[in-house]
Amino acid sequence: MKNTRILIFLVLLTFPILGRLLWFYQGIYVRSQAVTTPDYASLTLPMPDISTPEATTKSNLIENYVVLIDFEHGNNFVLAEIENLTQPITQSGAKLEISNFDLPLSERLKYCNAYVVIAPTYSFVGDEIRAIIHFVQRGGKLLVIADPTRNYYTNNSYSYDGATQYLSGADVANLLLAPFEIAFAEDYLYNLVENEANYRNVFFTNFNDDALTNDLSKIALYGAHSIQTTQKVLISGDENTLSSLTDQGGELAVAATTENGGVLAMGDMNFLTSPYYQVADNQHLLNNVIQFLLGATRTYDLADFPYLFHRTVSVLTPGKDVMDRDLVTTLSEAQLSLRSLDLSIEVTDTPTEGNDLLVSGTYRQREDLEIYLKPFDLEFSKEPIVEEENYGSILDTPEPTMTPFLTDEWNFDTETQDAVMVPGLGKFAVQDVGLILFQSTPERNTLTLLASNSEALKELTSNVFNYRDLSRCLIADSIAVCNLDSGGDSSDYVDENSGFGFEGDVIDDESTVIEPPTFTPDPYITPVGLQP
Amino acid sequence: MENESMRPKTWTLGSILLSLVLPLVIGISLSLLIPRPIVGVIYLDDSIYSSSAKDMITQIVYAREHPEVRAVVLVVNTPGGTVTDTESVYLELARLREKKPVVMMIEGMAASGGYYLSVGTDYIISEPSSSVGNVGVWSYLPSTPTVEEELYSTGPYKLWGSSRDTTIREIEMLKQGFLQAVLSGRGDRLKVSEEVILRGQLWTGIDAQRMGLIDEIGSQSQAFAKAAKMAHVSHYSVKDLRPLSGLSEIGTYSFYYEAPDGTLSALPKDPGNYYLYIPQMEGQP
Repeated sequence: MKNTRILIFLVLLTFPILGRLLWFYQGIYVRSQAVTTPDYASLTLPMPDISTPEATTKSNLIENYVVLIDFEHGNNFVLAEIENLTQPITQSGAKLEISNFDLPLSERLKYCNAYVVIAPTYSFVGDEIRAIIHFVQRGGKLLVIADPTRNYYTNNSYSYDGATQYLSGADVANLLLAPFEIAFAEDYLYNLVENEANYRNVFFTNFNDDALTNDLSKIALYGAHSIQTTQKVLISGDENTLSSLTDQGGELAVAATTENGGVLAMGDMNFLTSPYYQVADNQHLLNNVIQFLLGATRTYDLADFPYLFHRTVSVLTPGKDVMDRDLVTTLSEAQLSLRSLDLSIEVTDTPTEGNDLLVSGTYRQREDLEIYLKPFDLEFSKEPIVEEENYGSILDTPEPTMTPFLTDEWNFDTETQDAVMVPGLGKFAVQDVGLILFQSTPERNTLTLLASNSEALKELTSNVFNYRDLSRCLIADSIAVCNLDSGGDSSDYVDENSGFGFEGDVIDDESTVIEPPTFTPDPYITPVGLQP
Repeated sequence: MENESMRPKTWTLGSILLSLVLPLVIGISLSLLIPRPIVGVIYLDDSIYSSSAKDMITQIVYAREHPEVRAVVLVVNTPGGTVTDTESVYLELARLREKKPVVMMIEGMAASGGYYLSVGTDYIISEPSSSVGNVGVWSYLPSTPTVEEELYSTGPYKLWGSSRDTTIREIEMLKQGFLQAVLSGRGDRLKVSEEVILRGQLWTGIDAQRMGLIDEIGSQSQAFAKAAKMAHVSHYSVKDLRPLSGLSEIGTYSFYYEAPDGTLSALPKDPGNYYLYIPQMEGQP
């Protein structure tokens, strides 16, 4: 009984406790797996492979090699950012110029060898694009870089009705590159599998053979547009490099060039800035780009006037031991003009190797100038003169003229005149015109001036060097036919002092010398009517 | 004598009181000492910054130190916040989870830092249209160091903290930490690759479940029930841990940048690294 009571006591004591316990708690919480957290101590800064600095390869540059950096199109960068590009260029001996609205682009491209356009945001106008096409066609190098991190939209509106047109940097670059069949996509490339410390800093290892990809095994671009082109792709991404436009990949290009190698387009600017130019093979790539810019072999034609010379200019004066006044005047004009282009002249007897050349003479001396005239296929001939009504006005003029029609002493065939056939332009009477002949080779630019006589030659030379004005000239590539006020008949009027060019047949014909009229007083008339 | 020993004992009132009532009363009284289990709730309807993080940590510590709190449910609607505050809450949650189960209930959004906390729980429940994910880090970059003449310092980065390049690499490192948290927290439940996670996308609850980023589509009460089940408790009470832990009403704190005209920006006003979702929409200041 006592035991029973104790048992009952214990049961009644524990029952509420157990009951409540079981009412609320059906078990004990035990973790099946340990709680894990990231191993923060093992996290490190992702650092790239850094290449050792390398010297820029020396280039054999021609004198006055000019690389032009564009700053006239809202270019979204500062010059200091690209010093890794500009410093080696200047160290190589080339001149660096910045376009700053003082000269039209078409003028600058006449003498530049390379043109660099980085992150433009203001449109190029039609004339500029035409000038750039012409520049590239004649051997100039064009580098265009568009960068998605420099790609703000500006209002490039030219509409008079107030409508605005917003163009991105890629749009502006594409307007420039359209003639070359290259275009930037309005995207950036990214890679989440393997990258340089950020999804948009992408490594590239696919390179097509080209001087621009020489010695490259891996580069890093820091936010790059993809490029679409029918021309030559230089650098492209792997299957994990995706476009932000489509989130799709597949060998997306980031650098391309035209087949002839005149134009280079790249989708990133940051790779050439510090410190990114030192990552992987970026410095190799930068050096290759510099060699591209320094490797232009420009040809020139008269469209590049007045920037026809790029080296010291040899002026030939054979047989001229003593310079006369006219020659000094002419040479001084040439010297002044060339000095403004940082060029000098040398008066020599024979052409100097490595110099450009300036030659001039009269049509009479054309046989002696044959070596310089031969490339232009000029044909000299005698053509019948077509009588014109204005002959009367010539006879009536009180001014003494050089026309042979006025004196019976002229040995003059009134039925023919000397003419020159200029290919592409037609036939011209030599007495009326001067010729400017320009030949450009990698070794030398040669400018030949021809006119009918010394006065005409002086006028022609002055137009070229002093006034820099060819507005009265008909131009076809490398030949200009210029209307001169000082024209004469080359077949009969020959001035032994003409030109500062070659020795030639100088015909001294007294019949061509015009004496001033003399006055013979009437012997039968005296002031007082006296007879002698 | 023999008759006395064989005569059965009768229950007197005293013996009944002593043998039946007393132990019952004592037993009942003792049983009342057994607390009703609590599923504690921590609400986060704000960005994660110093104040909100401190509040959460206070409640987490309370939950850890009070045995009657048998499980915790975090109910969040947050775009995330600073990296350091997110990590501090995450690490406190890890300590709590060693003792008690923690369930995450995603109401409107658990983006970036909000998702960082989510993967630091044992089970994630979300509404069907909640926004989940946005894994990644962002940071204001310092400007390029220059030489100052009016303000002298003793090191090249004293005034800037770091170079731009180093800052970029640091956030990449922090991103790796975030990724590790997701991988270790979700483990085999994850059904997508790391590249998909690192895209930084926000997904709906439905997609997130499909991808293994969360465990279940459900409601708050389901979250409470799940937490209770994990803790092996029933007939529990659900209690907001804020008043229990002695915290006052939520104060106001300006986390976001406020323009002089009073317009609130979507960007935080303080520099630093962020596990934070910033909606990029036209017209957004």
